[in-house]
Amino acid sequence: MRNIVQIVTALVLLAFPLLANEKEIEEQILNPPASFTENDLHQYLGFGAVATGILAGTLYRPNSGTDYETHEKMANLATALAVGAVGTGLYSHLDDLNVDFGWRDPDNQHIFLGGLGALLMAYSIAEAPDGGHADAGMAGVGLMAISIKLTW
Amino acid sequence: MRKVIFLVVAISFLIADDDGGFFDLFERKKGVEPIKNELYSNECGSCHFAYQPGLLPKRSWRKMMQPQELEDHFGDDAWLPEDIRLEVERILLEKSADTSSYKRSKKIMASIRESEAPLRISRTRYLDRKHDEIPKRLVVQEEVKSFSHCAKCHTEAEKGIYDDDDVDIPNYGRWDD
Repeated sequence: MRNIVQIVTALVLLAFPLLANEKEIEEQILNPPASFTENDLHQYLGFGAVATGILAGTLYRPNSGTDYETHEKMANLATALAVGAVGTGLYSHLDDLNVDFGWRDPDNQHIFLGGLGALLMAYSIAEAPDGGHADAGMAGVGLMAISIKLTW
Repeated sequence: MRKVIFLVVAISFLIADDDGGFFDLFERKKGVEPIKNELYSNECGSCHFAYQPGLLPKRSWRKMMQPQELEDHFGDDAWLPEDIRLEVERILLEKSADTSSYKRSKKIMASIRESEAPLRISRTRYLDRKHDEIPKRLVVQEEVKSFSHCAKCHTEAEKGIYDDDDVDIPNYGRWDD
């Protein structure tokens, strides 16, 4: 993937010499920008979980004729994204968990709140459509949002 | 019940931001605060990488900026005229890790015991742990020499960004830990 980015970058820069000076071309070829990274994937899954979760919660009103099926699908998608965010976070950032640094470490806070948020979202869809699941879902989305902010 | 939860989450979200301002919520503070002071950059950066003040706590900078400490500044004489020394110290204390809301500063602070006042940034427990998987040969090589030369591998170090994604070790390339 990185090689493809490198080749494409070089071709684009060489094709438009008026837009890029010699030094820029050289820098891009020698040190191409990183392609889509594990960090990026983790980040976008987290954003996606929060955005989809907010939409699932705000676009549906019980007994108002709004589409429950769409609400359900969005909530399932939000939870899947949240689980994906936690999974990729554990895979690529487990070394940032420093138990002996305690609660003051923002990565420890991020891991705890993000994980708890995803759990609450999963609990919410497991309990749906019974009453009360919305509270857990909203709390889960909120905790995930706070978790993102802490390491933003 | 739903309103209470929403309120608690909203308040928590605001509390999570140390500086308070609403728009500050969206400002990215993942690394350490970049240094924008010309005097600091000239006085310190003329000899070595201009380490951001957010890399050490106040007590460390106070100790480092003592006149007798500067006379033996990691083996070199870094004597400064008194007015400049005091101004550099003021800049360091104002933006030190214990006053910063940037993530890496907070992580550094979380890793330092209150009784400690480390002088070598690379020896703080957090940075020691972050670097523990880097083979020694990549550190001691001519192009890097030691962990103290941050910008040799952290391509965005001058902006206060120390992400894994921006690491490019000479004669090795990007680091994926």
